[in-house]
Amino acid sequence: MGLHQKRMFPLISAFVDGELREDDRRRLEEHIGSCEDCRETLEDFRRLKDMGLRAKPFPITPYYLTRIRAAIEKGPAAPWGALEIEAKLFAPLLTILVLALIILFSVTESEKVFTSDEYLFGGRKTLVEQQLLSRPGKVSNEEVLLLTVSTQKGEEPNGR
Amino acid sequence: MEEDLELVERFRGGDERAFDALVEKHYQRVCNILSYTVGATSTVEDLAQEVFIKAYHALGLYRGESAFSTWLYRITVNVGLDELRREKRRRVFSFRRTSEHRGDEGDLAEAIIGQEGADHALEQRELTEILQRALKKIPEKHRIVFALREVEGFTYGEIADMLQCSIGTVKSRLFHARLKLRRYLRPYLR
Repeated sequence: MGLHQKRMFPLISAFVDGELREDDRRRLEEHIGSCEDCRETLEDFRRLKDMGLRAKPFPITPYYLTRIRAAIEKGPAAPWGALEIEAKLFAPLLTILVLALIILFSVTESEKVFTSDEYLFGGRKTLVEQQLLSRPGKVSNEEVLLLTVSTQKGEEPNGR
Repeated sequence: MEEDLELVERFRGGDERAFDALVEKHYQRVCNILSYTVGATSTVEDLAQEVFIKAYHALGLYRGESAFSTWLYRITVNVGLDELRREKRRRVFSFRRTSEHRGDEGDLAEAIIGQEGADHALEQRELTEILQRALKKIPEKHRIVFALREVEGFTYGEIADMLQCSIGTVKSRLFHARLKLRRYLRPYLR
């Protein structure tokens, strides 16, 4: 909207409502005689006004008074009425809750610390550990190393 | 027909029928205002009921500083605006957007024109529908002022009183409403 329109169109709007001061009205009328843009705007605003006047009233239903009377006699709505969750809101809220629980569960699971055995063997003892546990007495570091190497090679570890 | 203030006084004196008379006198206009404010035909009469229940309980607080009709229509506009706020919340929670909030203004204007046809000799019903659809596209503050002025014929002062704003604000909103509606309804205005 140009500067001219910014200045003139609000005046035209007030003009169609008959809300313009006498001197402003006269000046505008003179201007409109020579300005095509303002003349078109005035016509459009007048037609809009006419459209509003011709608009049909809202079709009311019978027994509205009876319904209003019944509602008044029933008394004011319970104060907690405003807190009621509408049925339409239930499904999205439930979805959000389920998603939040899934995310929370997966985060908890990812943070759980596994021992190497639990991670690799699902909590079962390694073959080396089984061998070591079956031996009485103290086991030296060399024997542990030997057992580990032989287990990795797939050999049956020898007894002491 | 009895004057509003007489009916208000009779109601305050314990005459319940005076309130019924006030309802009958203003019900149509309350529904008209709500239909242009909210736009959804299905909820208009429920909201009108809400308006009159509020008025019934608040009549004790009415001091006659403004006309009863202005006071009642102020409640009407506020009930309409509350409903629009509830509707916005419902839209947010239900993850849906209604078609009137999608697309740019030009497309919407074309949609109106395309569906209804630019016939100059429109029936009153069609004309009302077209106007209501166009009104839905403009901001509510502009829409309400336009409906109060052009459809219901209130003065600038009455509208300012109802909306509790200045006459300058009413003028400005009305001007912007007209500019926007002119753009949407241009084929019907020629």
